[in-house]
Amino acid sequence: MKRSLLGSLALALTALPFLHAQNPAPTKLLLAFSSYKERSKHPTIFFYEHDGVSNGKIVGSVGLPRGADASARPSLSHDGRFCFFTFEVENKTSKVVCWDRTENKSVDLPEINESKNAILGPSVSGDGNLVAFYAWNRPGGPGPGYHVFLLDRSAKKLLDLPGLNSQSFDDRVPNLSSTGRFLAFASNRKGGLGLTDLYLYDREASKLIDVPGLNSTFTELEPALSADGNLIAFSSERAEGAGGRDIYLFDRKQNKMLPLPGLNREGHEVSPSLSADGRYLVFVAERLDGEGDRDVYLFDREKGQLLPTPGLNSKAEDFDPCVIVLKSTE
Amino acid sequence: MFNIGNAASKHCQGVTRRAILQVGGLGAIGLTLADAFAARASSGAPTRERSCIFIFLSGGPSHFETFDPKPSAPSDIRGPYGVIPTRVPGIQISELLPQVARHMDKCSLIRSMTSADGAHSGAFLLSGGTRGAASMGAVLQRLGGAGSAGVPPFVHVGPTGYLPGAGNLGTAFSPFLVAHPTRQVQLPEFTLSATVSAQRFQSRRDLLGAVDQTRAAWQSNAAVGEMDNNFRRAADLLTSDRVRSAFDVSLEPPELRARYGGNIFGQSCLLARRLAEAGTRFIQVNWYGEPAWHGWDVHGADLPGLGRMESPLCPRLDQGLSSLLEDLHQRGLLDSTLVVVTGEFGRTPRINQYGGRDHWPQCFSVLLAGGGVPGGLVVGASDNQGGYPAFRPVQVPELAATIYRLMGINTNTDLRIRPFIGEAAPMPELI
Repeated sequence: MKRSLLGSLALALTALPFLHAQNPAPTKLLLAFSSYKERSKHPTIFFYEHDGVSNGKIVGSVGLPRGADASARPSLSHDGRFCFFTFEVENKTSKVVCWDRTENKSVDLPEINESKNAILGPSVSGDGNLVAFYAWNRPGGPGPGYHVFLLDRSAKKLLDLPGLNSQSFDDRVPNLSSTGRFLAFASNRKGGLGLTDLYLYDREASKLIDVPGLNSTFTELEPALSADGNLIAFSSERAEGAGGRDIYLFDRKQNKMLPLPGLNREGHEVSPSLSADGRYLVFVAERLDGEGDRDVYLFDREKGQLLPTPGLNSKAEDFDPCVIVLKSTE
Repeated sequence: MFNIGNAASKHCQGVTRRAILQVGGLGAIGLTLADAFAARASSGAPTRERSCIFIFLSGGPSHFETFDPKPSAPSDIRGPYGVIPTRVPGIQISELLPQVARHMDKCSLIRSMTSADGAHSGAFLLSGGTRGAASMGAVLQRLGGAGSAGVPPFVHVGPTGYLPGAGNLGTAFSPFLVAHPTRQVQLPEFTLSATVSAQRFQSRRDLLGAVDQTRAAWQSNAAVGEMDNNFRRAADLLTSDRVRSAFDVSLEPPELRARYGGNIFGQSCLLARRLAEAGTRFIQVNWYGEPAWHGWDVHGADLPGLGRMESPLCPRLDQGLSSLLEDLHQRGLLDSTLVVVTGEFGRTPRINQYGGRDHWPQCFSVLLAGGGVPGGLVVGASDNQGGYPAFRPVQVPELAATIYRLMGINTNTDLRIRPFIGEAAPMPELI
C-alpha cells in the first residue's frame, strides 16, 4: 500500500511538466491608475493586479512622499517595473516622473523636464526606453501651444519627429506602441475631418500614416495603441454611439471598427488603454451602478465582456488607467 | 440651512435623552420652515408658477472652452479645442459641448458678462452683486408666495461650497439643503430622510408636544397659535410622502437617470427637474464642492489644466445640462422653468505656464434657457481675444434683475427688490 502510494506520487511528479505544458501560467494583469481614494484633493497612482478572470487586489502605490501633489496619466513598461506619470506639486508646473517599482524610488528624467512650463502625459515603450510626452510651450518646440516629444532614455536625448509640431496647431496626448515604432496623438491640425482628430506617426518612415475610416466629423480623443500599432482604441463623440462619449476600436489591417459588445452605455466612456496584445482594454466610465463618480473598468475582448475587478474602485474618483499583461516568471 | 441629507443617528426608539438634546436642533429646523411659511403668509404675494434652476459651476468655467471659443485667435489664446456649429446657424460653441449644441435653439447666451469680483465666491453672482447678501432664492422666497403645495420654495442641491443662503435676510429664508444627491439615491443620507426621518421627525414632534405642555400658559396667545400652525405645516412637509418623493430621483426610470449622467452633477440636475416639477421656486445646483480639484478652477497648477475641461468637466456638464433641457422640454416644463448656467467668473485669455487659465472676471459667459427667455439669441460679445466685452457689457445686477423679472417680480414697481439689484434694470433682450 505504501509502495503503491509512493509509486503514484512519483508518477504524478513525472507528469507535472506535461501538465504544466498543457496549462500555461495563469494570466496576470497589472493596472496602474490614478485615484482620489487616499487623499480627497490629491490623486495618487495605484497598482492593481488581476488574474484575468474575476479576482484582483491593490498591490501598492507610487511611494513618493505625500504632499500637496497630484499624479495622473500613468504608463507602464511591459515588465511592470517602470511607471511613468504626470506629477504636479500644487502651484508648480507639472512634470513627468518615473517610479521604479523594483527599487521603490523615482528615476530622474532631466531631459524631459527641462522646462518651466507644463510637461504632461507620458507614454512609454515596452522596454521602458522610449518615452513620448506632450508639453506646453516647451523649449525646443515651435512655441506656444501643445506639442509632442519623444525621449530616448539610453541616448539621453530627445528624438526628432519630422512633420510633427507646429505653431499653427496643437499635437497632444501621445500614445506610443510598445515597439516604439508608432506614435498616435490627438490634434487640431488643419486638414482633418473635423474638430479634434487622431493621427498616427510611423517613426520608421518618419511621417504620418493615413488611416482612412479612423476619424469622423465629430471629436476623437485619447488614442491607445496595441504593440504592433494595428489596433487603435479611442474615445469619440460621434453620434452613432451609445450616448455621450464612447470608446471605439479601429483595426488598421481590416480597415474597420471592431465590436466592443456591452462596453459602451448611455453615459461617457473615456480614457481607453490597450494591453500590448490588444486583448484587454481598460477605460473610465461614470455609471449609476459604479462605486464612485468615475470608475475604472476592465474589458476582455476575447470573452467580449467586462471582468469583475473587486477592490479596484472606490467612492472617490478612479481614473486614467493603463494595463499590461505581465510575463510569466516561470 | 435645512439639511435633508445629514442624519447622524440611524436608530431612534421612542423619546430618549438624546432626542431631548436634539430638540433644539429640531426646533431650529422646524421654526425655520415655520418662519418661512409665516413670512409667506404675511407677504400677501400671489402664488407664482415659474421656477428657476440656477446651475453654479464652482471654480469659474473657461468661456473659451465652453460658450465663447475663439478659433481664430493665436494658439495660446485659442487653446487646443475646436468649435462646433449649434442648432442655431451662426452660433458656435466649444467642441467639448456637442450635446448642448443640439439644444442651443432653447438657449440664450450672454457673452459679455463682466464683474469686478475675481475671488471665488458664489455670493456675488447669486445675490445680484451684493457680496454677503442673500441668494436670489432667499429673496424670491421673501418676496413671493409659498410655492406649490408645501414643497420647499428654495432648495440647494449639492455641496454648500461658497454659495449663499439666506444671507442677511435671516435663517427663515435659508434653503432646504440636499447635500449629496449622488447617483445612488439610496444613499444612506437620503434613505434616512425618505424613510427613517419621518419616524424620527414624528417622535421629535411628539417630544416637542410634550415640552410644549409646559408652555401652556402662553399658548393661548394668537401669535403663538399662528406659530403652531406654521410648525404643523413644516411637520406636514417633512412627513408628506408626496413632498419627500419629490426629492427621490430613484423614482425616475433608470434609463432617464443614466441619460442625466452617473455622477453627482447629472443626478443633481435630475433632482432639480423633479423639484421644479413639484413647484419649488428656486433650486440652486452647485457643482462639486472643491473648485480647484473637482471644479472649474483650471489654473493647471493642480492637475493638467485644460485637460480637465476635456474630461471630466465638460462631458459632465454636456450630459447633465442637455438632458435637463431635453427633459424639461419634453415634459412641457421649459416655458415655466428658467435655467441659468454660470460660474463666478471666466478665465484668462492667455494660457499660463501650467497649461491652464487663471481667474478672469472682466469677461465671461452665461447661458439661460426656458422661463420665457428667447432661444437662439446671443447678447453682447467679447473682443477677439475673449478678454473684455466688445459691446453691450452686462453687469451682475442686470443679470439678477433679469432673473427676478422672469420670475415674476415687477422690478419697475416693486420697490422691495431694489436693495438686491440697486438701480439695475432687466435686460430687454431677454424679457
